Amino acid sequence: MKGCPLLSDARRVICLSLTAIGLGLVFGCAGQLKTEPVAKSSSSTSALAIDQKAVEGALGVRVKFHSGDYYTLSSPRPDTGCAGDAKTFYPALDASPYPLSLMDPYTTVKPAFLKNVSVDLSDANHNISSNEAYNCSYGETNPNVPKASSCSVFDSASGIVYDYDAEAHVAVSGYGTDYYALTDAYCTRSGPIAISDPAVNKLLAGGVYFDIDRAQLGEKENLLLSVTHMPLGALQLNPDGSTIGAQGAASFKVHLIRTGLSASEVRLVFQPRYLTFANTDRYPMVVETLSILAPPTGQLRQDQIVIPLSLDPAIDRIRIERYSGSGVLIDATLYRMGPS
Amino acid sequence: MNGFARSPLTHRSLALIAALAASGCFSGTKTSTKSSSSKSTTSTATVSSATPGGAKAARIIFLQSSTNGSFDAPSAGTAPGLGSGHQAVRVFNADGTLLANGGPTASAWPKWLSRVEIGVSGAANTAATNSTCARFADVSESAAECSFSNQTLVSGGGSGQATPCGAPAGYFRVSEYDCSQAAPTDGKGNHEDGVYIRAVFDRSTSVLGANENILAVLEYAASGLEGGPTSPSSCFSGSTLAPEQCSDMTWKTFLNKTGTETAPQPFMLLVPPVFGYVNTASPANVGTGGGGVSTRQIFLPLAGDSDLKVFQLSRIKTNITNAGKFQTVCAPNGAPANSAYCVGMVFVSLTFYRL
Repeated sequence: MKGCPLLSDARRVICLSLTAIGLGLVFGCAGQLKTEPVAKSSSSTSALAIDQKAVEGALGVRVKFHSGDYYTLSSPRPDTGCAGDAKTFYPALDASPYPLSLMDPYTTVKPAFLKNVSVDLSDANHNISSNEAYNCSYGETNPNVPKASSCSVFDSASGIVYDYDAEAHVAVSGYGTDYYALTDAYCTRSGPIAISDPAVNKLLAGGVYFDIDRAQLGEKENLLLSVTHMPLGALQLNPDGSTIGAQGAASFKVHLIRTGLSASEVRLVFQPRYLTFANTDRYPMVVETLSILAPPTGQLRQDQIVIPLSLDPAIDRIRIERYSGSGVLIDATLYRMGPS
Repeated sequence: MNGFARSPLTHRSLALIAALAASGCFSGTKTSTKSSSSKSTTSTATVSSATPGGAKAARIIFLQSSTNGSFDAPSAGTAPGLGSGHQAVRVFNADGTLLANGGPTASAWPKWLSRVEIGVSGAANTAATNSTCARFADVSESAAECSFSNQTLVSGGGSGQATPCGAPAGYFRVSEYDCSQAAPTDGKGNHEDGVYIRAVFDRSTSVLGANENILAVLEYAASGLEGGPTSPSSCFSGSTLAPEQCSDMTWKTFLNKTGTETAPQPFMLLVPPVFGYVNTASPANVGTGGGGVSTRQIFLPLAGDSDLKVFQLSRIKTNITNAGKFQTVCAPNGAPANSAYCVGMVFVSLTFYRL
């Protein structure tokens, strides 16, 4: 396998064994899902014009990480059957959302430079009747796939973790904010690194993807990302009231990635998507750790990060990755920094 | 990092093992996005890229001084309203030397910076009437005392130890305990606010290029009674984010077109976080205090919208009442407390860079 030679003998064995098992973390099978509706050419032209008019001259676009603005497990996107993709977008400096799109009936309009926004859902492969998006997940039958947990989810009053001894899910508490929460205490064995060390197997699970259409930006144009978040620290509490501690302090990183994927292709990726996109050979990080959202003091904060897209014309994804730790993401705004 | 022994690169290599993206049902065909047939435009797309001359940076120093500061002595409070604030009359270069004296009409004044004004509390300020709330610190404030251990001070018959918590003389500061004596109107980010800093840019392309953005660097101290909440749920009212609920005080920045917008959307949250806090949660511990000056860079993407021209930092509100430990800690000797380094803000400078 492409990635195996990079590793020591012990890990190469793991790699080859996974290959033999055929873990094959795959994209969603479009054939199993409804296809996106394709408008006829004349009506699509006028629909496109109307959509573009709605965002003409837009300074930027804002998304909230609130469950009501996303397709969820109980209400996935109708054409893909997948959860985690944003459906509501806002003007950068306006509290009211954009109108519904005529080109894409499943979202509001948004500036064309933003292809898609999505979040990892670590509970998407929970096999229960209320999970309408289960077929767009890696499922829970493959023993090499992490069990569903509330590591990175839209926070509610309750959640789940998997008891590997009892071989069953157990209920846990949530903060009840309805915003995207990353809870380190619930991430054991949820990450893409399948080794026994809990300090490692909880890493890299959770985060947000901003997929960018570079054709809609100036060749040398950069973006400004403004993120509102709460990086929780050692003194803050887990949902169950226990102290987060130093090991659970937030470490969230911003990366710039090259994917080459279209919006529709992204939306068909199984959840949790970090299992697929952990393949950095296929989805290389052009810029690793552009920024770290810090410090983890538990205070609400909003930070600006200049996104230097001009570094590489192939950069088409901004990733906020939960490396480790706990926090809540509130909203994010992408501003255009002017044509270049 | 957080106690992990392995390097992130090693972790990512391990993740590569697990993420075997087989072809599966992925078509492999990259279909273009249907709506990408024409590039979106901005209002600046066709404007000349020539950059006007003139000063590339301008610094406002929030000091009442005819030599080292941008402001002269104010009147007893400033009325709310655009242009009604206390005006900066001196502007400095980024290296601290004087750039212009005499206000925006001075010949050397950077033409792209129309004006800078601040909201000073007092009788004339109908949105902030307490004269000791937001003002330039007078000479007595450096001697203001707080009780960071949350104990009655020795002079008052207690066993607490006094800690200096007043702003240095002449600097523009906001003392929240004093504000609480006659609570200012909650800030909105527009012309109605009483406690604010407001800068207006001239967007004429003859003075500020259409492709130019502004980097604002604010130098300030922000102090609180406590740090972050123990639970993030404290910051929400139902499903609505309410930073005012989980912070001793809240300041927000706004980037507006006219400055008179009814309910402008905040551009960026300035406070929280605070840089320092007293921390009264553990009475047995001596509070660490609320001082410390730092900077915040705020990028203003003006090139994305030629109509944006008003940058405003507004005090929104405070979340604590003027009693209990707020009083014991920040006003052990009563009002006026002048304790901006307990719960409050001290502004040092605001520098604008043309990028």
